[in-house]
Amino acid sequence: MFFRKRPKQLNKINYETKESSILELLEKAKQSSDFETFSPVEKNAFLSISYYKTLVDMDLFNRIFLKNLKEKLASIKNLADLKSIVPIDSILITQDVKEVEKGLYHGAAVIHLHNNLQECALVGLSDPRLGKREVNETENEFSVIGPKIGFIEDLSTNLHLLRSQLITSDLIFEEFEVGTRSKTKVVVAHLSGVTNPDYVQTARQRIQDLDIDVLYDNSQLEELISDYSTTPFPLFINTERVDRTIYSLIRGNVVILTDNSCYALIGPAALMNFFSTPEDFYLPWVVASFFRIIRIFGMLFSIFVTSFYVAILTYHFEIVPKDLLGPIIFSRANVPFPPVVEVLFLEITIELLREAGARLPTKIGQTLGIVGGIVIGQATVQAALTSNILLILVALGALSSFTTPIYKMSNTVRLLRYPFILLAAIWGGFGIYIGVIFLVTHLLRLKSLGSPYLLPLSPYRKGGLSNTFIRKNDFHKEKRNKFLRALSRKRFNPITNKDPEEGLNSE
Amino acid sequence: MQSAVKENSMVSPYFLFFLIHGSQVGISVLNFQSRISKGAGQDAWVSVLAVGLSLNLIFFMMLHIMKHASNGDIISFHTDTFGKWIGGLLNLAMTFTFLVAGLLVSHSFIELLQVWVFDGIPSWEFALLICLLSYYIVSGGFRILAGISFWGVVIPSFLMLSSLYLFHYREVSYLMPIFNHGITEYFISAKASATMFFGFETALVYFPFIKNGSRATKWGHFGLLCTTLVYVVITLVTFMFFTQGKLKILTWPTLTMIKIIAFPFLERFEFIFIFTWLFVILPVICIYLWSAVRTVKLTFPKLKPTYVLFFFICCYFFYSSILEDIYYTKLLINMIRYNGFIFLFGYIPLLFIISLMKVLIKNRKQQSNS
Repeated sequence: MFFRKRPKQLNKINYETKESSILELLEKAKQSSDFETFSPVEKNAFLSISYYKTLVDMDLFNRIFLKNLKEKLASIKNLADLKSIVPIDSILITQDVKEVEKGLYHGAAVIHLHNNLQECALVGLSDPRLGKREVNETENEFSVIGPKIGFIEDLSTNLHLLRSQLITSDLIFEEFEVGTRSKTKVVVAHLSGVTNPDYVQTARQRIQDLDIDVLYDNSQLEELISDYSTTPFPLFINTERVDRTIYSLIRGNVVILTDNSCYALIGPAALMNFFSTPEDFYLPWVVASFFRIIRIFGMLFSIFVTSFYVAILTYHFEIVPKDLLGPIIFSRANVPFPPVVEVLFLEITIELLREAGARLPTKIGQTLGIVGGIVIGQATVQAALTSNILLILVALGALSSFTTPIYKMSNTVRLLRYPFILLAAIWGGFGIYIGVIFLVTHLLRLKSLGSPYLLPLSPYRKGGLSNTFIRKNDFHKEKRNKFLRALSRKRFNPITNKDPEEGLNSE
Repeated sequence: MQSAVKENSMVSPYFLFFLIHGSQVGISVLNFQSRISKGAGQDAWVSVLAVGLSLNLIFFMMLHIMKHASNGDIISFHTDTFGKWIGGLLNLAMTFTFLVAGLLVSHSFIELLQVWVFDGIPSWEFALLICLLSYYIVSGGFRILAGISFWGVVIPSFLMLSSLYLFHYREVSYLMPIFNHGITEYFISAKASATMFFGFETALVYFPFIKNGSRATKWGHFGLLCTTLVYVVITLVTFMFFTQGKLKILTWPTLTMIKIIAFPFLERFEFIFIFTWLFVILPVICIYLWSAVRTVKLTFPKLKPTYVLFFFICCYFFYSSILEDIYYTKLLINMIRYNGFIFLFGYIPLLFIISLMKVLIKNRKQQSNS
């Protein structure tokens, strides 16, 4: 803030080596052991085929491509003849080196005639499903009721999953290439006529302006295109569930999918969206609303429970009634530490257990949970390192942090506890309130794809309370929420009950 | 110099309600009762009501002034009417008033904390925390300010429920006999109660940031009425809770009253009350600071607002951390009492008359031209 920002110089240097001719390209590719060049005929070889063994579907290559080529080899005079010989639709004849390079890496075989080295044909033989998993059950966002289909690490499958559920030509996929070395495909999906074009334009612009070498995963893209990168809060919803993605598209969100990533990014996201799950829509709305309120309560409880414990036991023990003070004093009588050390000790223990459980294979992780939870907890209390009551509070706090459906948000909730504990240790309840106001201001500053993060609560929009804290009856959801600024607000016409008033069952 | 407000930094009309209500309710809600009861005694609530309602008139005058300024705020009105130099001086005087008012709020909140909650923590720590927070909020711009005043009204509003609890302890006879005071006594109470309504004069600076300004005025009036209602309710509850004799010796009547509230899991509710009050006072401090920075920014376009804000924050910090003595609080209170009183009930009507005359002259010119 005190230093003037230097204008950034955008340099358009390419970080890769460039080949100038097709022959050079092929020569360089030959350094790799998985690259192969051969000629289908022994004598008078007039053409050769080059390809990466690791990228090409060998079945297709041997049984269809090579078989047909060898049968009618004699009739080939120039490259254009290939189109009538090989029964594969994606054949491209080009002189462009870049085109050839891209084709090679996308699993095409390059054919060139020896008398014309400038031109070559690209035959698409790629196997996009090579090395990809088949199982697409949602693992991290589990729901008891409802479909369990999730995205997998293959873009075309993911797009298929979306396309097969939304049978409309309004569903638009825009494809971009990100990464100078990885050339990862990124797709921005939206419903035309519904999604506000501003959001689409913002997403498009940010993806196009990216300069990065390799894109590993969608969550990396999330950080790169988010409005503020120095925040613990996720500014996009990161989901692997297809139904959630479809629902967001219908509401008027933008969805970003990346090749090699089984997560979809949904934006613009608001803080309270992170506390709803697709299952809310499969349960009766009364029950679902109750669960949603429980989740929001769980988030607040998890953030504040231990910091209030520290604040009360360090500074404000007067506010505890006499009858309650007795048990607390008894359980803490033998503990030699101040409350903050005690709390940090237990909180970090829980955090270690969680981290170890996440890194270990499932079966060992479960055993570890039992060992950690029961044995360590019981032993620390008996060894008088912590009090019984604190153990209950910390365990409850950890438990309630896991009720947040989106994994990234539940991480944030867990992280937020520590600043509050420290503030409570230094300034008691006043410190906690200072922290709360910092948090509120921070949330007010955040934006996701240019739309405020606390919407629809602040700035308050009509229906903000009912949309946030309860799941509305489906018949009352015929209009889209105003705060996403969708182009059309009408979703459907709710039908009224047409059952005859006096049927057989009524008396 | 002419900096029109950009569309993307504007806020919706209803925020005016929260901005006005949020900037009015500050620290004096906790201790005004003993001051106002010195005049009209148990009838002082009438004075509170009268002052509150008179503010709607003042707000109407403010709207008229801003309507006839070139940029829609008092800063441009000053320079339009009095020229660059005198107008600039008036702007600076206004900045000073705002700054002192904001300082008083933070200063007395720190004092409150030390009296009621922490006697061991030095005031510079509290001053540092409040200054850091206000810097973070004000540097975020007007939208953040509006958001904070929204939450600063919504979150503490649950504290009003405590008046229901206190209503059980009512003693209606304390309010009797009704209306047995003279006009001068009512006037003394009114003068004492005027201080706690200060704060909404900052609307003169931030009004151009409200979308559809003309339609937003009803929200401003609602905000003022809401403040008046809250104050009258608190006054009535207090007067029914304490006798007049007891009230005279209490410094913080509201908090003393709150002390009676207890729950099975919470014995001293006033702790929660005081901490939550931070939500109430921060919008006040931040709106004052922001208005001061905005005034300086428009008067001296070459100064960078961040530096100005930083300078103000440093002043706040040093005043609150070094000048701890009760004498300096008294000094601030006296300054505010006179400054604010003159500003609201003397200066704004004066400006209103000037702007009325300007309109008249303009109309006459147009008539003579045509």
